[in-house]
Amino acid sequence: MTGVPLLDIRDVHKIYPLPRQKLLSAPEENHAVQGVSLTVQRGQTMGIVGESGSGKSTLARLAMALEKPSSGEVWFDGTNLTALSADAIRPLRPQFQMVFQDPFSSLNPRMQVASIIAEPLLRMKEISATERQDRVAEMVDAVGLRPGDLKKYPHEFSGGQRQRIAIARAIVTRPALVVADEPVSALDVSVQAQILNLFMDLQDRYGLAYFFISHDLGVVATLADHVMVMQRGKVVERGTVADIFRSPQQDYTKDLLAAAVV
Amino acid sequence: MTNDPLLSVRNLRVSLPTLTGPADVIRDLSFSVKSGETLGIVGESGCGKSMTALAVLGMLPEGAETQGQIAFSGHDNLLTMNDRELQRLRGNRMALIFQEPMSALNPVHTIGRQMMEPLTLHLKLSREDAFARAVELLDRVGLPFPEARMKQYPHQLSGGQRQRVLIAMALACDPDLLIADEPTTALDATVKNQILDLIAGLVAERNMALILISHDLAIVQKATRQMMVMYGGDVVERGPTADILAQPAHPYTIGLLGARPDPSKVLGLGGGKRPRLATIPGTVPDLQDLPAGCRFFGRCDRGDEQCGARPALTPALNDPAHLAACVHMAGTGASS
Repeated sequence: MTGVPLLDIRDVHKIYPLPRQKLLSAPEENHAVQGVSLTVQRGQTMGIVGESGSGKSTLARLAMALEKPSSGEVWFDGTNLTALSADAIRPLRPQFQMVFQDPFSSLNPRMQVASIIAEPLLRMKEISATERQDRVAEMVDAVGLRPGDLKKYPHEFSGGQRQRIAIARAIVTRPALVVADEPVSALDVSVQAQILNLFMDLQDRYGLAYFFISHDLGVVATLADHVMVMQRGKVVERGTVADIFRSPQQDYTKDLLAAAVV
Repeated sequence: MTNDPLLSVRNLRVSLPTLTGPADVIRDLSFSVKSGETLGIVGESGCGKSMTALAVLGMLPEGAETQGQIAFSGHDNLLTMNDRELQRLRGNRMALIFQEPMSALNPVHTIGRQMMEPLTLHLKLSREDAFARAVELLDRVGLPFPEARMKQYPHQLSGGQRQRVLIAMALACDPDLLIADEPTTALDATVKNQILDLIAGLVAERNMALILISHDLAIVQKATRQMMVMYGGDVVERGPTADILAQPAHPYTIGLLGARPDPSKVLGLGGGKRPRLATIPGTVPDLQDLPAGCRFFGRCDRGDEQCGARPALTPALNDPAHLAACVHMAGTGASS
């Protein structure tokens, strides 16, 4: 696996200003991500583990170029996204897509499933209307929905089914990278297992790379090749899944591990 | 200390109105808890575990119909008591810890005011005594600077701190029964362990009975001695927590344990194709569409015509304390 990494994050920092505590005090800052570097190769899965406030979701937004880093660079497939304007990034977006945690608020309740899944294709001028329909039909099949579901609205589905719709929307553009932020946290255990298996099936079928975020080390271990443990904006541990689980170096990782095992 | 159960639920049935008529969210549920005992109730959304807690607390939603008996600490049947009588028990003899520590606290009142309310209401303490007792309770649940906290508002505390406040409030009147409904779900893994240790310590110290409701098998394993697994409004398996987790007998429990992502399963495997998680096919049936016999029928690979009748809880694996409701338990291979 040589050549340019698909995603290359180089020493990124993200600082958010906080409101002043008092009228005349200096404004405070939240240093959400503090010097994180990582690479994701094509077809591989990078798992990010951490608790709330660890900066993992901010890192996901930086990787998706939804925010600019305060310093550092985000490269996607040999292109420095940090140097590009929002307009210049837009044509590249079909290549990296996102799946969110909450399948209840991430789907437009007024749109039919067919339109929800087709929406990312509308901006791709090279895709004709017939091809759009073919792609939507293919996606519905790939994520385990029925063709009859295309005419339904999001509220007619359970949480697990909605997450299938969100995944279909993310991969309909045939992206190389999918960034998933806690995609199974809101689901029951048995449904969670179905969706994790779906992520693995789609990776085999379409050669996707995943940037997969979870607070649950067990979930990450199931599908990641490499794991990064974040705490307070910094990477405290990284390695292969086997390394992290066989010999966790940090107490924090050990705590997370203890919480994941029955 | 008598050996009578503190809480005894007999043949409880709860039905809720739906568009197509009443649906049984709990059918014929019986269990009991003694002082000092810890009972975990496990299941996925819609299995009836939270409804069980609400029935015990007399807080079922409007329009719910109940049958059966809930005897509690000398009271013959909570189901026939009126709201006033129930109110005197709630917060006093029995207390509830909710899942969501942000929405369970009133954002416009100080922690102190909310802590003191049950103390002045149920225990008739003066303001000074209530203040002192509230500080003592906040100190007991491990909140640093308890006196300063009394003046703070919920938004000034972290999630873990808010959950500690809720636990302190639940303990305020020294209840006999503590019901915790997903008490750690909104918390981070490291905080989760601290809160569980706190609850377990308090239950032991005060000889309370604990009912812990959760979808998370790891926390039920950590905090309870007895457990029951619910599915579609039925108890499908019950017994000592350690025995059930070591040797699950009901196909649903086996499926639930198998579906958990377990780091140890993927270790030692080289490259190549990743193993898939075991899944339970299908989804939890709709309330309006529950099977008449075994509620797990339709998702179970052992289902056949014998499952058309409702299975009784019978001893599993020759252990009289470990019961499961399945006619196909024999030769499960779970003991291999």
